[in-house]
Amino acid sequence: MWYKNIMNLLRTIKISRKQLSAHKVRTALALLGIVVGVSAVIIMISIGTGAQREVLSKIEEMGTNLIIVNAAEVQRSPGRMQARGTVTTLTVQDAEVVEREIPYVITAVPVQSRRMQVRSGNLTSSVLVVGTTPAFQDVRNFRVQAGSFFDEHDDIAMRRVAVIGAGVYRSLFGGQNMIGETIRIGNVPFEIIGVMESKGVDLDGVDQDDQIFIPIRTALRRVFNLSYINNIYVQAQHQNVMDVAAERIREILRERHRLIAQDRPDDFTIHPQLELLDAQRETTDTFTMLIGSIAGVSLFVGGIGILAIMLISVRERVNEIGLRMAVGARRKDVLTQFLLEASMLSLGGGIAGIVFGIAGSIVVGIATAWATSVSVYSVLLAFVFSVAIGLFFGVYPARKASLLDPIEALRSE
Amino acid sequence: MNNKLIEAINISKIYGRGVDTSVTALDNVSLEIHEGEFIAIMGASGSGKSTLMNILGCLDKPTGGTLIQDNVEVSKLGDEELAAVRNKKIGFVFQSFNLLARTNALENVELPLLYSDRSNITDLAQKALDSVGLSDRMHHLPNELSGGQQQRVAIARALVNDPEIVFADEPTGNLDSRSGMEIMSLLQKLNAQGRTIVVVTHEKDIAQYAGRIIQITDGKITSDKKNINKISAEETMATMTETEAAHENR
Amino acid sequence: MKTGRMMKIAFVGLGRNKLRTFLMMVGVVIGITALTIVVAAALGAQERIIERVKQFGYETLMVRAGGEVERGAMGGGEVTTLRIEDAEAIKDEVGLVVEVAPFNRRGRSDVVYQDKSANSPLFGVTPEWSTVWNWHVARGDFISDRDIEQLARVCVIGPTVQRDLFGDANPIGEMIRVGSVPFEIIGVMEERGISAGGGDMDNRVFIPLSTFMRRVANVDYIYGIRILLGSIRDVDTAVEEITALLRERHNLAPGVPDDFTVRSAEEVQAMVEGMLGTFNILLVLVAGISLIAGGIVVANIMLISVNERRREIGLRKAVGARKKDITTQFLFEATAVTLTGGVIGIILGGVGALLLETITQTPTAISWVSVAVGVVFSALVGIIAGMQPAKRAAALPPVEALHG
Repeated sequence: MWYKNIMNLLRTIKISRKQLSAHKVRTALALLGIVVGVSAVIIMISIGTGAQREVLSKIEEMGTNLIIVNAAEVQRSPGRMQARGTVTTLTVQDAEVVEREIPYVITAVPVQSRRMQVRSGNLTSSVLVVGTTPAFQDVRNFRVQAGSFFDEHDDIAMRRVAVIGAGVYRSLFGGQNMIGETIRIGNVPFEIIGVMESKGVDLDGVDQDDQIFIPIRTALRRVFNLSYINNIYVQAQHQNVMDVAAERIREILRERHRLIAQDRPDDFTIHPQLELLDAQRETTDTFTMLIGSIAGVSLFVGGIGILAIMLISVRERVNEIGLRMAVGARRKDVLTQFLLEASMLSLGGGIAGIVFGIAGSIVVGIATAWATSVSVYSVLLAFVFSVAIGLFFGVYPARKASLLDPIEALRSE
Repeated sequence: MNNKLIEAINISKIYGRGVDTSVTALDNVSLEIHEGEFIAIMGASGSGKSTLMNILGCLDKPTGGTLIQDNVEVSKLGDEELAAVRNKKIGFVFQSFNLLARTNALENVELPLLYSDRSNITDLAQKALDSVGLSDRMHHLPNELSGGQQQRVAIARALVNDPEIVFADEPTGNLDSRSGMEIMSLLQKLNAQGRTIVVVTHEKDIAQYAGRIIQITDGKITSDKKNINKISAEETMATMTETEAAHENR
Repeated sequence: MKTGRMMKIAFVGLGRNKLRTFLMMVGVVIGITALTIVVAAALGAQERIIERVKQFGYETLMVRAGGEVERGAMGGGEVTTLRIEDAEAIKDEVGLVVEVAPFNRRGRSDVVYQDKSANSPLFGVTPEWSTVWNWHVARGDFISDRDIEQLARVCVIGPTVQRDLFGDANPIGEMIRVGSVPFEIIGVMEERGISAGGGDMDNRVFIPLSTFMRRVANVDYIYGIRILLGSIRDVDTAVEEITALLRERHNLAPGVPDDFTVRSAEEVQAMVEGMLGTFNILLVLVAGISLIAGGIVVANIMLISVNERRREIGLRKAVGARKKDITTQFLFEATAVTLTGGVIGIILGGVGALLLETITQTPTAISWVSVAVGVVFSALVGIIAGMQPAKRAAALPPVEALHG
């Protein structure tokens, strides 16, 4: 019995295949419809994702994964108000430990800065002098436009080398070549080894080009004569681990500053980049909606396209259904045939659509230099949806035709 | 003898190009059709009879030979002029009726007029439908008409431009014998009114209603003679009715 | 007359074969609908995101008292040349300027509430501060014009100050002392977090600029002016005009360096411009793919549905239609179908965009350019795809077309 069933099925498959290849144009067009439906959805979603990443990366470059640890500025002791000013407990070693001990942290950069008079020739300017480490460039995404930044050896050797901001360059040197020139910070002579790119004012309206960068150890020992720092810039691996990272930083600093035993309040504050994170979250939300909308519309459109093509191509064949039934095909036979035809079309078209969709996404990714990616989810969604519609609208009209009187079906036009 | 309507000289039609793959459908066929004739072109399936009709009716072009119609060499005409010839001088009736779906009888009959310069379209179409006895079915859609009625609409459509000649390709092929007889009777009536009619058929019985029978075999005319035993379709129908009545009486 | 008749044939035919007409139209309709919605959604998203990041100071300039450099001796003290009148002149005379916010500041001030104290920068500002920085009160009120006129002793505090001095208690209406001057708290700012320079933007006390100058610092000059521009396009022109204006007002002879500094937010500008570039590419891609996909569907459906009609074409030719008649009929049909489909597509697209806006709460913006391009494109595709098989069928001898 089962043997006969399989033979029947095989025969129907053969009929379906013959039918499909006998009507090459019709088959090609229906196939094309499904291919376009599936690949459009995949490409659209991958473009949306690529654009999202691109836009988010622009915000990220501003420092969304940046946590700033500030040394506390007030010591509140009720009644008395003497211990004013910056606490002296935050050190370069704190930064090193944070970087070494916390897995979510890529780098931790110590910073001590102070506004000072800077002199070159007979020109002076009041400039923010920033002592830091080479990793500052990465953490703040702030690069040199000429010369080079100082390196770790400069720091360890406490060399008197300075990298000047674009504003300082403009005002003190008026665009002259100044690499190798000497600049006096306070009264200490420094050799200029680089000029930073121009960044303009930050979110607070503070001019970021009005700065001079020197190695932190040089700064502490030779310029400021201090042993403590006022900030640590911490770069977390990802904005998702910001909370965990902040909590770990707090634990480590409390332990290092011996605040745990006496249960004293923090002598530092930890700040994420609220504004940036907020903008980033809103951007992510907006894009999620956008991608969802685009995907929804593409699916819908692809679905209707497939539906229309299936309807037309089955409608065209009502005659054929009548003929098959007239020569003795049962309704079941007709249905099986159309189901098989629709399956072959939908599956073939779906698979081709996936291939085209992935290829298209790759092409778009290369052309735009965006990080487009094809998600398994979008592929599945497009495939399942399109194949389901192709199957349904390939079989439903055929079923309707098979319910007709063969004579009527034959006569229909 | 009456006016010569169509003269075919050494018409041939070859399908395909290669030496091995080409098929000769018509092989140097010559014939004349005169005004007022009722001709049956007879032959087995594949004999080339339909090809001959299509060429005579300007639906298809011969690959060789000359076709003269009304002293015009139509085999040299371009597409435009051929369309005009089909529109004004020729009417067609097909085996499968070929009526436009979802279009009522009147509008189907109007179709050729749409491509002519005539303006009183509806009047002419009504008259044509009247002449085939369907004035009461003017607003019916094809699928609301019986096969015989559909074919009569098709005949009205063929007549509406008052053509010199009507070609009918197996006009009874899709009909039961009674409806077929009605169609043949209608064609005979039209012929009696002076219309030239050419019927293509593979049935000897049908050919017997024509005044001249041309036999085609393998693309060649094998016989072309006057039908001396021409039967009246009307009479056949009368006997059919008698037979049916006899059956019922029994 | 003939054309009119052909048109009639086309329209009558379309009306009769409603399903076929509908299916032919579907391609164009969904193509245009998709294009309209997708582009509207992308434009809306762009608008929303760009508006958000513009708040980082995209369209602003900072004028600070003091040049970048002084000649001669070290030191120099405070620069006293920048005045409130300079801010007013900038607003009145520089065309691109929408709003100005002059302000004064003092680095660190003791802020005392009962037995608690904080150490916060003190800002003297005008009501325009809030607009220009796009920075508003979270509760209470910001400083008003009346407060400025009356030299009112009122202040708005940042969230850090609130936390340090009041914890969770409501500070509105409480009195604090800044230095020795008592102020009534009328508002608390929204949280802004920390700037890239490490400055806590929430640790601030804002008081009326007039109060700051007359009652606190006793000065007649200001520290800086924050300027909001109408557009970023002419930022360089704006900088030049402001520089020229201030030099004139400060009577600076040629060759004398500026006694002020004008800066823009280059980093933010670079970011916003980068984003706009990304969005432009996104729009082109999204619209392009909608067009291509829509075009293929249109062509596809047209090809199938015209192919289906070879018999009809054969019949029309058999009864005397010329090639031209057939092409005219199909041209009219395709044009009517695609244009109607285009209009329906625009309507559905508009409705869809509106729906999307309601559902996702994200704004959408219909781009008429893209809609027009879409309609023209899909009409062309539809007409070509509809005409091509019709032309081919019309060129055949009628017998062949009749036989399908």
